[in-house]
Amino acid sequence: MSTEKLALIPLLPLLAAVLTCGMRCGRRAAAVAIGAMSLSLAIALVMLANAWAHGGVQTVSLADWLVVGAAKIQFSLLLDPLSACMAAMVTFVGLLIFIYSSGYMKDDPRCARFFCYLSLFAAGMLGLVLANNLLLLFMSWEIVGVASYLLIGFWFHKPAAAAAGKKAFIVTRIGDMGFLIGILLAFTQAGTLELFDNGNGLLEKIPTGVVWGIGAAKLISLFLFCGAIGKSGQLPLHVWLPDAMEGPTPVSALIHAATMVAAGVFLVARTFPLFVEGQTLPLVAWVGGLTAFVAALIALGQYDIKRILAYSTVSQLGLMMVGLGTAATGAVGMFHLFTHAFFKALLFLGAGSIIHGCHEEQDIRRMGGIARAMPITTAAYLCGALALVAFPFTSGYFSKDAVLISAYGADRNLFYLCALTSLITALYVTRQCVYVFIGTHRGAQAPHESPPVLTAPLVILAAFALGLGGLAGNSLLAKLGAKHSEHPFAVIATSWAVALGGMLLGWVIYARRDLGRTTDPLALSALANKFYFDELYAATVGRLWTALTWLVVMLQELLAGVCELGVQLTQATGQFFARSVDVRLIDELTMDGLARRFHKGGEVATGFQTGLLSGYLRWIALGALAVGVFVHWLWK
Amino acid sequence: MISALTFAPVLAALLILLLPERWARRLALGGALASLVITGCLLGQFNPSGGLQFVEKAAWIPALHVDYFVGLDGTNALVLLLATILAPLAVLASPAQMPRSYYLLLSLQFTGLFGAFTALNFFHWFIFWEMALVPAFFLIKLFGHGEDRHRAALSFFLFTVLGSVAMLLGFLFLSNGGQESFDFIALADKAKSGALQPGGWVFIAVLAGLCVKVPLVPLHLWQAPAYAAAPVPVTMLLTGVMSKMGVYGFLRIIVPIFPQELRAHAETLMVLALVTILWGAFLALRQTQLKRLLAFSSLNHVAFCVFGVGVLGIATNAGTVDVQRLATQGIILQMFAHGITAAGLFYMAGLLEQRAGKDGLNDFGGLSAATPRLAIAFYLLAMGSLGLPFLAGFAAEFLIFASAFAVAPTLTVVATLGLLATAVFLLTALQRLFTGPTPEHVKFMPDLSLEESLLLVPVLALVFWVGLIPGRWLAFSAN
Repeated sequence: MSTEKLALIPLLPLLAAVLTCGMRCGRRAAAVAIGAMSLSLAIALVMLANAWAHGGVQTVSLADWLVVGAAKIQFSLLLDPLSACMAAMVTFVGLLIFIYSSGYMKDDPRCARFFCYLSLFAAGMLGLVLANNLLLLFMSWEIVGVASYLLIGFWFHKPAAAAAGKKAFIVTRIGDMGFLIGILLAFTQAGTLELFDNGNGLLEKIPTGVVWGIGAAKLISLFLFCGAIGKSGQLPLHVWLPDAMEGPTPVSALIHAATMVAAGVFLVARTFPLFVEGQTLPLVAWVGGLTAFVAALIALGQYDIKRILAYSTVSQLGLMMVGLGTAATGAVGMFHLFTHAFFKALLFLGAGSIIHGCHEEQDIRRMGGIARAMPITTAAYLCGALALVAFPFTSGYFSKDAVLISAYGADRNLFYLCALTSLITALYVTRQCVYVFIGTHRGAQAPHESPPVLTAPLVILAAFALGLGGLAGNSLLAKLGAKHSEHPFAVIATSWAVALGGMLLGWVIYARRDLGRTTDPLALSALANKFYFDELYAATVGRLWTALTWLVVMLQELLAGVCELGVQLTQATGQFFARSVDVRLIDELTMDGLARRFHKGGEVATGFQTGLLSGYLRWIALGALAVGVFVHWLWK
Repeated sequence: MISALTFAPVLAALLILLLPERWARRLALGGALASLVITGCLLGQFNPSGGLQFVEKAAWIPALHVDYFVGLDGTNALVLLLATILAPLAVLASPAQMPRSYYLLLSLQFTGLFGAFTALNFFHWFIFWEMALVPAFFLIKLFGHGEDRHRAALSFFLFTVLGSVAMLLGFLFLSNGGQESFDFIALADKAKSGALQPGGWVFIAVLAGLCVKVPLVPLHLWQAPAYAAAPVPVTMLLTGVMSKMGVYGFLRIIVPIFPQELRAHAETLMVLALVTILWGAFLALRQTQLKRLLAFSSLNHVAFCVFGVGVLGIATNAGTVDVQRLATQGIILQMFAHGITAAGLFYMAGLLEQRAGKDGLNDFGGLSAATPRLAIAFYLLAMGSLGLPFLAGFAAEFLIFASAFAVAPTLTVVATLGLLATAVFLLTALQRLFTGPTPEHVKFMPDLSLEESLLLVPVLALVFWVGLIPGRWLAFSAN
């Protein structure tokens, strides 16, 4: 199959989205969406084989989107091992989640709309990973964002869901504005936004200009990283991701664990040459490291099964950033992204199955004893948990080891931070598993196992969570361009120690505790309250924003007052002219007044016209006398 | 042909006077549709690289060097199309029981708008410019909503008339009291060769006239009350077309005739536009009435066009990208995209108000459940308005931003704050109107009727069409 067919990978889900948007029947919509996704997966696998064989970058131009003079924005796609792996991962995990959703959402009256949004999301995500043009990448990125907004707020009758959707959109858009500025910078500096273009692409010929006294590559990479921070929930823009758990659980698995949140990491890996040239990688690494640490700590204090996983995702995304920021290529970070996509999707879907089985209960304090009631889900979930902990020889172990090795080589402090994060990771995972699976059930209704449509995807994902790293890890790393590196004993020892030690510690703390009734020793209030990030933002940025709005409103009021005065003045002037000048002076005094006086004069004169001859004679005599007197007076 | 399309609504107006009142709506619609059809035919034959086309020129008042001179080129082709598309929609959006005088005024306003976009001689351009204003005043005052409409109409009239007077004086000065030509093209040629030295005061007078129409802060105070008080179809025209008259004036008059003055004041203009962008966005955040929110949103969106005009003033030293062309194309596309989107949004705000009798943001809730079709249309247009890729606004905003960044990166970075605030207030409006529990009084609110849907279909189709294939629309202004 030629690379021309690459466009079908995002276009098929898009077609499914268009077809399903008007449907009423949820099952038919699910069938259409799943069918489209299966075809996409098939093509993506063929393309993966193609990319594996070819090894380099192949590009396809589909159409000119915008041509203005010499500037040209193309819809163009690219195939290389990175994009092929991402496309295959997104379609595969996506397909499993679509199948899971068809069971999970089957009773929802708006099920068809759900699949429409999911398909729209998949189209955007696949466009994002395959784009060869930075603007097309950004456009798909925004589509992904809006699909996420719609899916988080899918149950729109819940105010919390609607608010969470809005928060996700706005917080990521803060980062997106940075992304956009980065694109504008790249466009004005390089004159093109094509990533690869026979040696003239943005990533092949790195712009060397200077803006604001800083090198273009440095600035572009920094601004692009802003976008990555927003989308991948890195500090300080991580606050939207835990709230996004208000959406249906398959959404959390697809968007907020496996694919969309990884888009930021992917963006850094995609535009890696700019980061290398701009020497901004240490910043990426440290932002990632701090995020990983802080989010892992917060996860310790959460009781909502999905929120624990959400913070865990933020933390793991941070580790991916560390992997990107400390290595010479994007391979290590991307490797962790791939393994994480499988085991985190598994964990979320498992959590969904547990929530479903516990009658929509999400609080781990009211769970417990799930292992006996839901054996398949439990077994699958534990596979995911082990991978998350990086238990030796699971897929998470290989990828996290790669990150740790890379951090060890680049910056020892960062390595310690990551090791500590891994320890906390093992701790919170053990805490969650003990709460959920061990002991007796603390909820009101007895839990039950989920139907096969929910558990089958879990089992498949569990196999990948255990096996992917060991079986495909080395070839994946090699194809993504990783340099071969030493395995220092210290790193391996640390890795084993923190994983096993953390689990042991967690077991010691939680196994014999009367969970749900006594207080949790690690859920400190600072952790339970997420280090007060939301409150901090409300008090600073929120206040500033409100003050700014208030200022503009006040100025507007002031101007409106002045304007009002003008209008009043005009009205008053008008009325002055209308009443005083027009009515009084012109009408009453001049025009009407004269007329009235003439009229009056006429009336008086009428009085004389009596028709009596004697009266007239009298007046004639008087008149003659008056004339005589007057003439006499004149002549004298 | 251009005269025919300009005066078709006047013919309709005459017939509205003569024929029975029950035909008034159909006659007004017929006039507007005739204009649309003629425009469609003209644009079908339009050659983007052919310069000025379909010219009609006749001496009118030779003593004053006044010609009747109309024509189409890349600058006005798309805005004329916008005006002729929105005119029939405005008639269709009018409530059925409106009297004869309403349709008469509306038709006269159409002619004013079409004429102002096609005229190439200041003299009758100005007549049309005023002709668009006077019917609007009466439409707001006689058929508007609420007690506020008299004051809104008055302040609208005062602002625009004062602006017009300033502009008229400026042009009288420019034409040396009628001894020189009023012809835009001739004036532009003279400006290019340096024979025209209008001077700063003339520039400022003309600028003031245009800024009132756009509007720019601080000459925008008439806008929100007028948009909120006017009948919805008139608001659709005010925001969709009349604000574009101001921007078009910038492209037709300021850029070609005052190049040196523009260069001298370009940064001031950009700052003014930037202030307007942020001003509109932040005020929109605080509105509790949907129509006022949309009015401030328009203030913000149209100011992006003027931001682009500032770029045209600065852009002399083109670097890697063709800044002039990017900005010009971006401005024209932004006018078109915003005109369509804003008109659609105002139309739906009107529908909500008509159904519920009020238009406060907090008077609704959970409308996604009660009126799903209306919700879809509203979400799509709101997303188009906040610049979602693949919908109308994005390509235009990208072009303007790309050109602006090349010449004034810092201002452009600040302008992105406007994009962010746009998202905040639009999403807040969506949240309040369409999500949450559905209160009793809107639970049985009717969804879009067939007629209403049919009106929105062309709007949505254009929003997608411009977003997916902007090249088709940019071709009109390619040179």
